[in-house]
Amino acid sequence: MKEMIRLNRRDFLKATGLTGLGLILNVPIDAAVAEQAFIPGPFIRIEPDGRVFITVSRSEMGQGVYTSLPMIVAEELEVKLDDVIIEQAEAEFRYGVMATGGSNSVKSMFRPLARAGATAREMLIAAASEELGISKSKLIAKNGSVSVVGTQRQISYSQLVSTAAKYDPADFNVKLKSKEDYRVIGGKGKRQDTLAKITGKAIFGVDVSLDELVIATVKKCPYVVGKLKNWNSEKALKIKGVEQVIKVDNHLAVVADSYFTAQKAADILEAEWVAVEDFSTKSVHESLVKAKQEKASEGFELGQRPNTISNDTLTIDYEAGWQAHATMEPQTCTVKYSPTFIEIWTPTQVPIWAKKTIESFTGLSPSQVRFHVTFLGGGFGRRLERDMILEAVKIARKVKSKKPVKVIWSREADMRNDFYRPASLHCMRASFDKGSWSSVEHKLISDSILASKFGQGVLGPNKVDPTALEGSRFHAYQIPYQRVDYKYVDCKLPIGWWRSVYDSQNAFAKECFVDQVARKLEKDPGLYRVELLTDSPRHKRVLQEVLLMSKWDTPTPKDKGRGCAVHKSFNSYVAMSCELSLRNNTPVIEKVYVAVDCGLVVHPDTVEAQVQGSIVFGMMATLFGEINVDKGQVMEGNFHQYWMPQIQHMPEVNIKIVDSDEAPTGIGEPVVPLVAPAIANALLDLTGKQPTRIPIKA
Amino acid sequence: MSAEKLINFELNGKLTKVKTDPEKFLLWVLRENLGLTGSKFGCGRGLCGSCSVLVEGKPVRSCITALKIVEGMKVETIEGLAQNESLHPVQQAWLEMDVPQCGYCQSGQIMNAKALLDEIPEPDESTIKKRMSGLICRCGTYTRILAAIKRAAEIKRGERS
Repeated sequence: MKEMIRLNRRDFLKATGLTGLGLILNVPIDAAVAEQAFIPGPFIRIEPDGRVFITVSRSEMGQGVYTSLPMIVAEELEVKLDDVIIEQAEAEFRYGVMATGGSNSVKSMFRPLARAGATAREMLIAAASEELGISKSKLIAKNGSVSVVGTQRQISYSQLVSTAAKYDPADFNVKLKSKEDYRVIGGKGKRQDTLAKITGKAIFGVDVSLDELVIATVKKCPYVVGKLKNWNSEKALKIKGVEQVIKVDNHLAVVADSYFTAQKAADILEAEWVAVEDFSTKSVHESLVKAKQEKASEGFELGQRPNTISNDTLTIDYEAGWQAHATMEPQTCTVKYSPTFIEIWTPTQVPIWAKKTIESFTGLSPSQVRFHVTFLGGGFGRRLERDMILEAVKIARKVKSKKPVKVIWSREADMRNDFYRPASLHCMRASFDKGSWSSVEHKLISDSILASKFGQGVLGPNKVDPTALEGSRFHAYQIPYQRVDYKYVDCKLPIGWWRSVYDSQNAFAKECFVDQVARKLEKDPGLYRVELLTDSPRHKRVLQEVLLMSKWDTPTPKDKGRGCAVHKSFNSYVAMSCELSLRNNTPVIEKVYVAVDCGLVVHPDTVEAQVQGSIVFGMMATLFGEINVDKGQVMEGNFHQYWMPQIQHMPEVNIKIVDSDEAPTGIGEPVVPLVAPAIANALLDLTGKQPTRIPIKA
Repeated sequence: MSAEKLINFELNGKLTKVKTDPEKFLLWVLRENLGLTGSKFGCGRGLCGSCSVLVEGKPVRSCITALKIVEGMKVETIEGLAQNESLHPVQQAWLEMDVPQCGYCQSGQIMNAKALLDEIPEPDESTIKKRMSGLICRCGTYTRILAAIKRAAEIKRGERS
């Protein structure tokens, strides 16, 4: 795709005088070059001129995979990070799983990429051995060359390409480097995408340009579940530049020569829709509350159920509202359609899944659909959905002029047609025996993401969504009896995976409840947690770090509140404490302390950035916006209604990354779930009242 | 529907003529007519700031600014910031601090930061917060934006790292 090459070395040299930093290409491999290149697998290609290309098979949505994943390869391949050229993988099976989600890019790609790098390195050493006639044991790879130990002799990778290319990678049994020998991993590697993103050259989905491209926007059915009754496109078609109005499912797409024109036409396009489902935030809240009385299914049980029923109990209900992803880049997809070949460019987290969706929709074979991933202007789980891509294909095949089409949703279409974080109700009950916490029960009532995606059948006869239980358990804490029950309620609003998924609501309920238990037992909530975490060293360690950092043992300053939380999600352990005050009855988050244990850290700077960003993301859903439904319509359409934290809301953030020898785990999501309970607990500390519903209303 | 009109303005130091609907928002003129896609479409209502460009040195939300308004004026976009052989001090600071995450809002952030430093070379923290308020970064890069603006002020003063 020649049109996407806005970024080449010569341009950059001219524009910036910088070399070698952040070169990102998105071009198909030239077959003639490929023939002469050393390609030991899907992730590495060394060309005869010595340039090292690393293919990233995950989507860059801000979480730093264009840096952290190449760092893993560069470490084992013995090249400098800034000397490699990064290529985005197209959707192809040879890359294995390409889905970007669940905070698993570094976790799942660490070994495959390290092995790829090490294999290539060993093959280059073998090539040097053959070329120089020196035993492999006397050769070492370093900095893009193979050197002869104890001499000045060295031979660069570029000179070894043709020899190395003759070998079969399967013949090489490689040993990965040990942590003490790392020079890239754990280091200060610069983000490889920064330069593109600060010069306006990074190509996001909305920036894709093709010859003869037309633009479409979609006037969406205003009802969550509704039907298009009738429409009249006469006026809209009179606007100069408007080509066509296309009915796509229950929506209307306007195709024009410009987004400006398309949107103007969409605004005056006459259409009438009817609601099929009439529901509201209030009605859904009532059905969640009603389900409290209904029988739930067992989700998780630990320990012996007490024989006697204690009279000494504490019960609190917690509730979480709907949240949108609101990626800064609205949903967009570009399609070049013909009946026998489709080419797609889109910012997606699931290129393979999306490609298969298009193949099964069109009946085309895998070789008839080509799928490119652009930069993502935010993901947060929204781009795990394939709705937009399918819609764009449906539009593209109806475009009369047969031109390629870029579909761009308005912000309003994006915000009102999301797959939201589910609303949930958490009924917590603790029992006490002689002043100590003897049991905890959590009845979790919510919609099921699994059922919404794959049908209610996946929930089994007991109607349990195991993913909804993520983060609901208290099992890190030493409480003799613990139980979580799940009650499925279909809430009608489309739902999906929202950064940190069910952990965001479950950690809120769990960690708020721990504070209330501590209060009842007249214990310090931080120290009480330490006491309860005797068998969970990694939880305990991060918590202790946070208590230390935030000087938890000193009195809370006047007019301020302090709260903490500890939670494990996506295999990472996080503790947080926050300090806040009230201004005009509105919480002002002043300081946040975070300790994380996400195993071996490939790129500490990424971890720091993700922690800072997760705090903002969590603050948004705790104190700022909420998605509401009334009369079957999503009310919030833009940022004046769905409010976001801005620079003046950013607290001081202090971060401790715990040194760990464990395998790397995620960091994109695990900090988000702690923000709501840390804030709610700080409010409890300050006011004596703990908010039980998020977002918290002032 | 307005008839097409030839509009002249100065874009990144170059006289630019565009023949189009004078009501067309500047953002789409830049992105579609002129191929400068660095300024981003985020909300279409001037609420998020991803589309910020400078008009006569002041930040303007190009997604709600009709082209005719900038007739004869000086417009600066992210593409015009790097001069000759080097990045603008704001970009240099952004690069040093690795500010962007997804990067989508960053052109708008950078243009606002440039305007701020042109007007107030050494802004204190509360001035930075006041002037950069109203710019939404969903990734939450605010800590680094704040630090990078302070750093850019140093670079402009002539202090190199």
